[in-house]
Amino acid sequence: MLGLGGGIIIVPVLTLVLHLPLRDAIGASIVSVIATSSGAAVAYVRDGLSNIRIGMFLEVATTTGAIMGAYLAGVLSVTLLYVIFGLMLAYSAIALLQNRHVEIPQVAESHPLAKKLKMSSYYHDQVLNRDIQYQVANPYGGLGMMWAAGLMSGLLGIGSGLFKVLAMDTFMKLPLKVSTATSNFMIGVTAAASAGVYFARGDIRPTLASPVAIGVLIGALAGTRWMVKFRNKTLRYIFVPVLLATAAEMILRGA
Amino acid sequence: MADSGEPRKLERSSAELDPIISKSLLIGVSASAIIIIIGFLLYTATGQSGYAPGVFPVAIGAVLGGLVQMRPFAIIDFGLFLLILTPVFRVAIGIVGFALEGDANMVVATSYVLFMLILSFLLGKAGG
Repeated sequence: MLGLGGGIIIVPVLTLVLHLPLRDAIGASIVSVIATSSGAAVAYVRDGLSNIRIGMFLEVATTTGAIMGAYLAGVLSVTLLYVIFGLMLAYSAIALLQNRHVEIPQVAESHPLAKKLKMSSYYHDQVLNRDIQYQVANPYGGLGMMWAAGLMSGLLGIGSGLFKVLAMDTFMKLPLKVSTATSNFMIGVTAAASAGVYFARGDIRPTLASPVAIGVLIGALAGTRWMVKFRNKTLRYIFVPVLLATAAEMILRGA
Repeated sequence: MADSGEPRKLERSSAELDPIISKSLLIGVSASAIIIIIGFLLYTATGQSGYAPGVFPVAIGAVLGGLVQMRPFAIIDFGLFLLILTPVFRVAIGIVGFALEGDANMVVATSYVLFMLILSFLLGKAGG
């Protein structure tokens, strides 16, 4: 629903509540991310909320990062991963809070590269009941953030939807709904890039991954109906507590 | 903005490609969900995974082999595999779509993404 794969919820639930090994939890969460992304994107893409040009362009950076991350995962310590994960989430929460009064960001003119790739588009806002035309700023900053997002996905098994939303919200100045829906569209590809590695390594257990995949698919289809009914501002207020709670949990676990 | 005086026609960046991508995702998701559910029901009904305890097929060949023999874990894994491939198909369809629109820049970008995805699967296989 928030353009986050649900990895930030699924990994802690499986490890902290059900006490499953982190590797199995990450394998299952990768599958859940792909299920969320593909399931929700059916509606978001059809309704023009996901900007597939922006998404597919930025995937250049996320897939590159994801492959690098998947290989670093065996090298870095799990404890360190938890702390990095937690700190970055805490930072995201602050960044979102700073923009809390913005409903639709105003960008006068798209960046030349964004123009060349015809990124600017519009979507129909159900709440404001009008079509919102938007322009696209700073695609290079977006690409950089996306590379980091891909790296996180490969390292931690999360779609790192948060970083994708932030890249599009903070750097590229897209409306939050478009950022959310486009992030959702992209996380499937980022996760697929790491899923091949996890699948071959035997980290995706059928008994765990199949109920997770089915449950998440159903949830994703329901979530798309809710997200479009919120204001962009309301969406921000939903993001912040989710972020802070997860951040605290993960930092404590690592420390 | 649309309502700021000078009238401007609203343009969606990918009006033609959107419904095609949406439909292909729907097909991928539905097919994999049905296969996973069949495998899971078979596993819970028979109580047998088709494999020794703690063992499940990992290589693509082993999954397909087990699928022919109707082993529940192989069916589940095949469904999971289709699910993982759904975004990859969607990228491939994107390449064709942008090519038909004559958008060389996007064809290059999407092709690179597909290449990275295939590379990740090949590397995963080698690493496994």
